[in-house]
Amino acid sequence: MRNVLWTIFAIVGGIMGFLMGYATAPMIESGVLTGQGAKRATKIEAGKELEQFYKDLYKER
Amino acid sequence: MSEAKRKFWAFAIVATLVLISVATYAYHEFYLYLSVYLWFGFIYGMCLQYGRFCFSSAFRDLFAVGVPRMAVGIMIAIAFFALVGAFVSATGLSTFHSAPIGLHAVIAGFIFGVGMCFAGGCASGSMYKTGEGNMNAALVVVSISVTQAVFVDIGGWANALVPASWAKSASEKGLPASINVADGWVDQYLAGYVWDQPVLSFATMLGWTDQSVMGAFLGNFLVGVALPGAALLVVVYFFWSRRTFMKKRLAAASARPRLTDELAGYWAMVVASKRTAIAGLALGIAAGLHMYASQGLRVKYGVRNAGPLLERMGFDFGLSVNGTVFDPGYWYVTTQEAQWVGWVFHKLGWNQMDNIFFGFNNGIPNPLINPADWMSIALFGGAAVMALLHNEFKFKKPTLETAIWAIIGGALMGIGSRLGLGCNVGAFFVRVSQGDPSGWVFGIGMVGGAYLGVKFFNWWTERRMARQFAATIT
Repeated sequence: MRNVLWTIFAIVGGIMGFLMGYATAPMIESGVLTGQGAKRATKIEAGKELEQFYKDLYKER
Repeated sequence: MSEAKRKFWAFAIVATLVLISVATYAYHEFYLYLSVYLWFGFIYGMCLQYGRFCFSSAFRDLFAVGVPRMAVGIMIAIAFFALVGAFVSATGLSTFHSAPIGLHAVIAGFIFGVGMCFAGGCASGSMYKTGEGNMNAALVVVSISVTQAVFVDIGGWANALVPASWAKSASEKGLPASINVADGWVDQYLAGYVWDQPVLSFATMLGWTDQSVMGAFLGNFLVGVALPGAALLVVVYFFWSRRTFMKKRLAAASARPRLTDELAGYWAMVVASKRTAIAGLALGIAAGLHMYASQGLRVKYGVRNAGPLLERMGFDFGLSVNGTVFDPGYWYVTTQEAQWVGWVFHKLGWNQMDNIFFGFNNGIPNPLINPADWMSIALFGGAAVMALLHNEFKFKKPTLETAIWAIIGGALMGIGSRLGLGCNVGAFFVRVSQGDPSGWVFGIGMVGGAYLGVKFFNWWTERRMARQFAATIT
C-alpha cells in the first residue's frame, strides 16, 4: 500500500509541477514576479517655497 | 474490501481525475483553470482525511472528554497556513479579501458551532467523511447545501423581520433591478447591514498594507495569528493538558512544577497532535500554492474571475449580474455546495438569480463547469483515496436518529455559513490565517456554540440511555 501511496504522490506531484510551471511563466513575463513590469514610484518634488513654508511652521509666532 | 480492490479503486479515482484534466485541456486551454481547483481539491481531501481534520470532533474531544489533541492540531495548522499565506501576501499574489467584521460574525459562528456538534461533523469534516463512505456525513453535506440555497432566497413573510434601517440602507446601495433587494431577508441583511461593517486586517490596523513584508509577517502573521494562537494554546494547556502531564512527570519527585516542566508539558501537548499538524502543514502549503497558481492563470488569461473564462467558452448561463462566478482562488467549502442546489432549484423553476448571494456575487453555473465545484468533487476523491489506502474506507448507512441529527445540524451550519459569509474553513480557518480579525470573531461564536452543542448532546444522550435502561429493567 505504501508503494501505491507514493505512486499517487508522484502522479499528483507531476501534475502540480506542470500547473505551477504553467502559472509561473505568465507572472515572470508580465513582471508580476520579477518586478520588471512595475512602475517607478512617483517622485514628489518640493519647491523651495514649499520647503520654507514647512520650516516656518516650527517657528514660534 | 480486499487490498487489491482498494488499490484498484484508489488508482481508478486518480485516473478519472487525470482523464478529466487531460481531456478538458485538450478541448480548451481555459479548462486548466478548473483543473487547478480540481487538483488542489484532491490534495485538500487527502490532507483532511489523513489529519482527521474535523472541528466538530476537535471541540467534542475537548469539551466532552477533555482531550485537546485535535484542537491543538487545528491551531498549529492555522499557524502553518498563516506563515505560507504571509509569503504569498508579501509577494502580492494573494487572492484573499477580508470580510466585514461585526456582531453578526459571533452570532453566525454560534449557530454554526451548535450545528456542527449536532451533525457530528463540521463542513470540511463532513466532506472528508463522505469520501470515507460515511453516508451520514453525506446527508450533512446535502442538508448544508439545501438550507443555504433556501435561506438566501427567503422573502415574503421574512421581509417583515427586516429592521427598517437595513431596508433603507440596502435600498440606497443602487443594486440592479434584477436583484430586487427589497425582497429577501438575506439580501437586506447583506446590503443593509453586513456591507456597512468595517473591513479590517491586523496589518491595516497597525498601519501597514497586507502586501508589505511588515504587514504580512508582523501584522497578519505574528500579531494576528502566532501570538493569539500561542496564548490560546496556553489556555488549553492549563485547562486540559497540564494536570495529566504533571501527574506523570512529577509522580516520583512529588515536587512543585518548575518553568522547564511547564515548557516541557506545553511542547508535549503540541507534538501530541502530530498527524493533524502534518496535515495542517500540507494544507497550509497547498492553500498558499493554490492562491499562487490561480493568480498566475488569471494573469495569463487576463481575467480577475472565472466568469469571463466561462463566457468565452460559451457558458453564459448562471453568471452573476456582474459577469462573475464564485472563484475564491483558495480553499472554500460551503458556497459551492449552495451553488449546486441553487442551480437545481433554478432549473426546476425557482428563480435563484434574484438574490445577492447568487445573482450579484456568486452565480449558479452548471456544476459540471463550476470551478469551486471541481474542487469539492475532487476533495471527496482525495479523501476516498487516502481512506482506501489506509483501509479506512467503509460504507456506513445512517440510522433514523443520526439522519435527523445530520439534517438539523446541517441546516444550522447552512444558516450559520450564510450569516457569517463562510463556514469553519472560509469564515474561520482561512480568515484567521490571513490576518482577518473577523475570523477570530466567528471563532469566538463557534467555540461558544460548540460548547453548548456538546453539553446539549451529552444531556440528550444520557437522558435517552437512562430511559432505555429504565425500560429494560421494567
